Amino acid sequence: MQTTQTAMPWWYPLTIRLRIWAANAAGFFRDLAGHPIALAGGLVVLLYVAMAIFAPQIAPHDPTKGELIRRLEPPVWAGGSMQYWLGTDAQGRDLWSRIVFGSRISLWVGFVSVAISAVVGVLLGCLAGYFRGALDEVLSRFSDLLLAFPYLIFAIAVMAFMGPGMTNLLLALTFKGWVEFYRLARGEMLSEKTKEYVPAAVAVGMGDLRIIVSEVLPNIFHSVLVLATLRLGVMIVMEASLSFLGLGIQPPTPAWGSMVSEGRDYLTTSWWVSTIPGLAILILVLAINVFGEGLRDILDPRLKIE
Amino acid sequence: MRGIKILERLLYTIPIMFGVAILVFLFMRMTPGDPVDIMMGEAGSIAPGEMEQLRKEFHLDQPLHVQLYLFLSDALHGNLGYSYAYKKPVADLIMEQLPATIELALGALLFGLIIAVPIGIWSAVKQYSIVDRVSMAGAFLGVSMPAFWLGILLILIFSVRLRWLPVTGRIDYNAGLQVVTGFYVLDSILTRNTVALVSSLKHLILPSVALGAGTAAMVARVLRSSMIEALRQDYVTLARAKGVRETWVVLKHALRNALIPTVTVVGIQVGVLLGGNMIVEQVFSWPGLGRLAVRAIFSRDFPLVQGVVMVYALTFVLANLVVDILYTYINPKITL
Amino acid sequence: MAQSPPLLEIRHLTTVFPTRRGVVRAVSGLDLSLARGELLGLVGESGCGKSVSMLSILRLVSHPGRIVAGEVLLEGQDLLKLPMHAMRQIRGRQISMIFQDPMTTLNPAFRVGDQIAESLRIHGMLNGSGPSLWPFGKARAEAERKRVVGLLDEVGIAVPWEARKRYPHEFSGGMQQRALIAIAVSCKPKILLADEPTTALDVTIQAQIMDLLRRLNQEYGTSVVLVTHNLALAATFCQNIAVMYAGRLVEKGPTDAVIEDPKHPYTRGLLECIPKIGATREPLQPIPGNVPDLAELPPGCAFHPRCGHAQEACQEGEVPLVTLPDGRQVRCLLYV
Repeated sequence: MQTTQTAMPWWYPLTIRLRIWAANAAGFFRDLAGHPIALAGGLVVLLYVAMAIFAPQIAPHDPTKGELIRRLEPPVWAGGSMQYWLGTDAQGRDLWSRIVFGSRISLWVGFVSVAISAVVGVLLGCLAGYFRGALDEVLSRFSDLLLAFPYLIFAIAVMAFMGPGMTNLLLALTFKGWVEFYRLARGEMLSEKTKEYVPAAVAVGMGDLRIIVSEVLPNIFHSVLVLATLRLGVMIVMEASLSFLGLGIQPPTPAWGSMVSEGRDYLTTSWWVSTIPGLAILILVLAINVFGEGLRDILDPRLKIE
Repeated sequence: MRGIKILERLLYTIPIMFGVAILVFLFMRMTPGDPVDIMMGEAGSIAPGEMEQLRKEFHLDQPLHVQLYLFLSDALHGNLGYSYAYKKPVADLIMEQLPATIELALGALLFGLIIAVPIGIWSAVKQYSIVDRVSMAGAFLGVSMPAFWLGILLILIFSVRLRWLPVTGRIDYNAGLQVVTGFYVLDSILTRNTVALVSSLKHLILPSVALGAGTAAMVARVLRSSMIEALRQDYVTLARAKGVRETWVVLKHALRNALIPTVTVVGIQVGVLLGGNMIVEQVFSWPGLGRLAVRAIFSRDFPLVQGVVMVYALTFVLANLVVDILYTYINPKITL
Repeated sequence: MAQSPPLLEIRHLTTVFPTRRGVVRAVSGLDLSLARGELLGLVGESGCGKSVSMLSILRLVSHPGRIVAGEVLLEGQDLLKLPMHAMRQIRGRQISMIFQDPMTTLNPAFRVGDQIAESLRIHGMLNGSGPSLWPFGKARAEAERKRVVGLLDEVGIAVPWEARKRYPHEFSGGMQQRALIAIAVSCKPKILLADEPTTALDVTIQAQIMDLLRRLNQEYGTSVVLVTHNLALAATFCQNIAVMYAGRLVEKGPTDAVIEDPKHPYTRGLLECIPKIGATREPLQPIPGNVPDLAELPPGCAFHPRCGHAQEACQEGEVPLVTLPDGRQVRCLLYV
């Protein structure tokens, strides 16, 4: 019997994986259709994203400039006009336009901070879990220490002392955010390492990095995705909380949290100024959480095909 | 045996506290810009000599490791620095405001548990009933709601519209409360001051609800799922086979086991509560550590921020320790 | 056979489980009787309804399963018609049950001694040793302790005064099963239902447990129903063997008679499946076909699709349980 040796290009396992993934994806969407509530959540999120992307087209008014004559007008169902259908704030700015533009901030900050946290956390977690040793010790102790701080304290302190601005905001949010992903990745790496395919890969002579990237990572992917979805809601609320305190994005850029804060003084007369932006946050986060739960239901029982 | 383990755990928190202190210290020193400049920026006009004096006071002229040493030894002696904005020692300020924060955190925790435990148990026993579906939907809502918004909503409904409950503060001025411990509810009981008791409770309700709603939601969900899991187990069937009454089967045999994962979640919630404290204190003008911290940050009161952050972190570590110890009593398989 | 009226008589018991696929008839018209002090083996393959029939006796069938027909007469009293509080008096007191996997059947959150004591307390076994209310209950607590230690000793657990303070996870499988037996016999029940008590244990431990059960039967006259799929085990332990198939009783008789001269074709098939030591090396004869789907039972005799002696008449109508002249019972048209 003759056997021919063909060198396998390094990306070949990935193509197989891609094909499996595509098959899984088709099944995934089928499953998703069977989870109507989760599907609804996902659609709402997409709506928000669309709102953020097409904000200039959607918003009827300039979110930063207000007509003082039209200040504190109620929403259309409480006596206001269709022109400012969600009412106006204390400076006469259209609430709807501000909400539409505010979604840009929330979604951008949310997605980017989760993305950075996930990348950093998963990377460090994989490395720590795979190589163990001093790296693992140091990182784990450090993350334990970071966990000793209630999340907001840290963010507030960072924002306060480093000043406002998008970069600092992202830094503040991701500084603790990566820890959860770190723990997840590390835990999964530790358990995956014991499974047979890792020693098998080592025996074949695969380099460490290649093992991590092309073999283990795809198996961890699902849990990371679920965690990321759930963290997204948390990050958005945190950003809103920071803007509420005045430590987030500075005016006149509209941010939902600061809108709620601005409306506090007018609570007795014009309830909508605070309530409606908060509702926007609530609906978005609710949709994200509902979708994330559905995602977890679908992805968990779906075993990764080896 | 358990006593030794608890002691061990206590000792372990010491290096953590040191680590926290060091981290806070480093962080404060590493922010860009001269701290004194930043502080001066807020204070307006300052005599030139004062800047030098302040620098000396904060030991900023010394090398870093000496600063660290001084900082730590000061802290151990209870000297957390001097707040220039309030013109008082930081430690005093903190001790004044700490009880308020703890009272609020406890109030929120209590509220959360009072709501979550019965609902969690009921939903598990009567799975898929109306109560179950409604409360799980509510739980989703509770988890997704930003605390500050809930606070404002509650104020809108209960203070502005219905006028049942006050908006801000901890107690009415004319309640005449004699402060003993700093915990107003406790103090009014100790001094038998019913007016103060009612007043302090009325002030405590809304902030506790705003802060505790998220906790209630999380705990209810975890308790429900762990109860469902527990009720499926063989030992529940055995309990029934022994002739145990159904109520006891649920509340003793099943619940005891369901508490194990639940306490873990409660432990995490304690941390969330301490964090969310700051927001809620702002909304309700609750005179606690959180509000103090926010003010300190805005006035760039360097030593105050440092002290507050550290105390917050330490409280957090201690609270976790308490939960961990509690956990060992609940789960016989773990002895720390 | 027993001349005195049977202690327990099951008549035409039918228990069903509504499922999405259809109604699963786990037990279909089971007729069984148990005499005082009898060691009865209930034998059959997995899924033939043996466990469910035991659970039905104590009305422990879990929702959505229901008992839809039949009578379970304990000394003439129909248990299925008892109000719940009376049923609870029967459970653990007149009739006890032990289950297959001792690790999951014992409650992991409570000490073993407490779990035994719970049975004693519920059924008032210690009434008369003194009041139970604190702080006057010392005499009672002492009596309880002694009783628990005594029980643990009786079932063969070493160092019983230490063992009672331990948690289930600190015991080996065999010890756990002994503890469960201690719980079961604590109130000196008339009947002990043992559902595969040794299946999860090592063979050597198995022998010890069976010895224990035998001893308890001899000392206290407790009837034992041993539910097992292991015909050999039943053969060594039981006085009589009852064979179940697809939720029905198909044969019953003294052990020796059934083993040496099986009447029902199914029993014959079972015996031929057992490898015999010393016999000539012939291939094992499995019973052809599969166990029927309990949601879609074949009409007439449930075994006829697999039976070598099947006739036309086997498909029509219910096959009655016939009592042969020597007292044995068979459900087969061959003997009608």
